[in-house]
Amino acid sequence: MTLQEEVIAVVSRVMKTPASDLSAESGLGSIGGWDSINHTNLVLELENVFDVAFEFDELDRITTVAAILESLQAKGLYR
Amino acid sequence: MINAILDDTEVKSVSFFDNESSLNQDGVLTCASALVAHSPSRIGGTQQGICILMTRSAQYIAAMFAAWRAGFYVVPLNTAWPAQKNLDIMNRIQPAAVLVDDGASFDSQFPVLTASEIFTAPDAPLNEDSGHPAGRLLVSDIAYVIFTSGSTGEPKGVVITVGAFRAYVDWTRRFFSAYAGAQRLLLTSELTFDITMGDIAFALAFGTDIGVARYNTNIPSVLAMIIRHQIDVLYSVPTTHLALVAFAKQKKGADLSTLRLILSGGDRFPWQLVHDYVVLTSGAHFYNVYGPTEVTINCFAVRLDDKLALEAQGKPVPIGVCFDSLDYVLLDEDGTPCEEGELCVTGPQLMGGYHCDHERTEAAFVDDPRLPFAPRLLYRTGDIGYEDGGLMYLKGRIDGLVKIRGYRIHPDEVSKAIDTIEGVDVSAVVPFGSQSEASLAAFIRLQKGAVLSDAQIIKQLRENLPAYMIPSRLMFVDEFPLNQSGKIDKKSLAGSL
Repeated sequence: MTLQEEVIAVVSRVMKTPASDLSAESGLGSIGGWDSINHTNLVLELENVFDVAFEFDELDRITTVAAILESLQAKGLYR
Repeated sequence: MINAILDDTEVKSVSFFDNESSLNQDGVLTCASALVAHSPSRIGGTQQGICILMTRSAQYIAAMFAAWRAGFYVVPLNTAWPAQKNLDIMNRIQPAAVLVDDGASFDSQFPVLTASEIFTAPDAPLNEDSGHPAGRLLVSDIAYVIFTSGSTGEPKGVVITVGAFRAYVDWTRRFFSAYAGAQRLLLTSELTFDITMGDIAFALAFGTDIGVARYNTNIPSVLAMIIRHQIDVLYSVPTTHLALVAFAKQKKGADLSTLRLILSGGDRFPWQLVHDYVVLTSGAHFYNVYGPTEVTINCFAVRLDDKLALEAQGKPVPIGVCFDSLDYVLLDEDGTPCEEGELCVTGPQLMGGYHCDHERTEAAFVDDPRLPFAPRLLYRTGDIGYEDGGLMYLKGRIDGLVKIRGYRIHPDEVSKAIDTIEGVDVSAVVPFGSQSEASLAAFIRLQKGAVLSDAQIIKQLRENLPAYMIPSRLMFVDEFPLNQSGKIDKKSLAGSL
C-alpha cells in the first residue's frame, strides 16, 4: 500500500465514503461527508494512525488528500 | 456627528487581520476614497448600496468600514453561494459598485471594482486630517441589508438602519463594559450572517481588532488562529463551538487560555458546551445571545458559566434577559399577552423592513396590544417563549422554520427545489437530529418510470441551492403518509427517521 492509499483509507473510514470515490484532489467541502466536524475527526485520526503531530501552522493547509500526503512526507513518512 | 457609525474615537484603533494579511484604518480610508472617486454615495438624495462579493478576508471587513466611511450601505454577499443567488440580490439592490477579488471572472451589469483597485493608495492618500471622503451617514440612513432564507424561495433582504445598528453598538458598550480591554476578536461565522455585524459592533464599542478566520469550516485552522493571534473574544454559532471544543479537547498543545469572552448565538446548544469551555479556558465568561436578524443581531443575552446551577435543576439553556433598551411581550394566538406564547420585541433595533417587500414586512409586525392609543410595532420572532426565574426560555417555532448550522431554512423551500427536478413527482423535507446539530431529510416520490439516483438529485440541487440547504439524507418512497387534513404528514415522516 502506498502512503497515498493509506491516507485515502483513513479518509474513507472517517468520511464513510468509498475509497474509489476519493483522489488526491478530494478535500474539505469537495465531497459530501467531508464537513467541518469530520475534518476535525480526520486530523485527530491521522495523528493517531501515522503517529505524528501536525504543527498549528500546518492546520490551514492540510485540507486535501494531496496536502495531507505532502505534510506526512515532510515528516519523513515514505511508503 | 458626521458619520453615525464610524465617528467614535475607538474606531481609529480597529485594525483587521486574517490568516495571511492585515490592514488598518489607512486601508479603510484608501478604499473609501476609491469608492467615492468611483461613485457618489447619494444620488438625488437616495443613499446607494455597495455589494461585497469577495472571499473571506481582512479586506472584506475593511471594505465594509470603507463603504460606511464613504456613506454607502453594505450588502454582504458570499462567493460560496450559487452565482445566481448573488446575481439575484444584486439585481434587487442595484448597487453603486460590486467589490470583487482580483481576477474574479464576473459578468455584471453593475460596476465592478477589484480588491487591488480599491486598496491601492492613490497618489495623494487621504488621512483623518484631510477629512472624511464624503462620509455623511445619518441615523436615518441604512447601515446594511442582510439576506436570509425566505419561505417562498426568494431570500428576504432585512434592511437595518444606522440608528438600529447604533443602538446595538451602544448596548454592547454598556452590557460588555467589563471586557472593554479586549484586544482581538475572531470572525468565524459567515460574513453574510449578522453575527459578523455583532462582532463589528463589539469592535466599534471597544476598539478591538477584528480577525477573520479565512477557513472557517476548517476548525483546526480556527484553533490555530486563536492560538497564533491570542484571540480573547470569540462569537460563533454552536456548531462551530461544538467542533472547536471537541478538537481542542483531543489535540495536544491546544491552548484556549487567551479566551476571556465567548458568545454563542444563532441556535440552541447543550449545557455541556459551557462546561467544556470552563475547563478548556482559564475561566472565560460564556454568554448566550439571542435575536432575529430583524431586530438587529440580538435582543436577549445572559451569562451562563455562573448559572450552571440551572442545569442541576433540570432547566434548559435560557436566552436570558431582554436588552435594557428594548421591550418584549409574549402573545397568544389571538394576540393577547400571555405567559407562554410568541416572543414579540419592540424598540430602536427593529428593522426598517424587508427590501422591496411590503407584504412580508407587514406580516412580520403586529400592533402592540398594550398601547392601543398610538401605533407601536412589535416584531414577531416566530419563537415560542416562557419565563422562569426572571429568565426567558424558548420552546420551538410557531411555523416550520428550522436552523441548520445557524442558517434559517424553510424545509418547504428545499422541497420546492427538489420538485422542479425532472422525474420527481413530489417531495417532502423534514429536519432530524438534535436541535444543535439538525440536518434535513428529503422524502421523494418519483414520477412513474422515472429513474433518478441520489447523486443525480444532489448534483441538480447544488446548482440551485447553497450547500447548507442540501439534504443529508434522501429517501425514495412510493406513498406518503397523510394527516387528517389530507396533507403529507411530516410528523410521521420525521418519526420514521
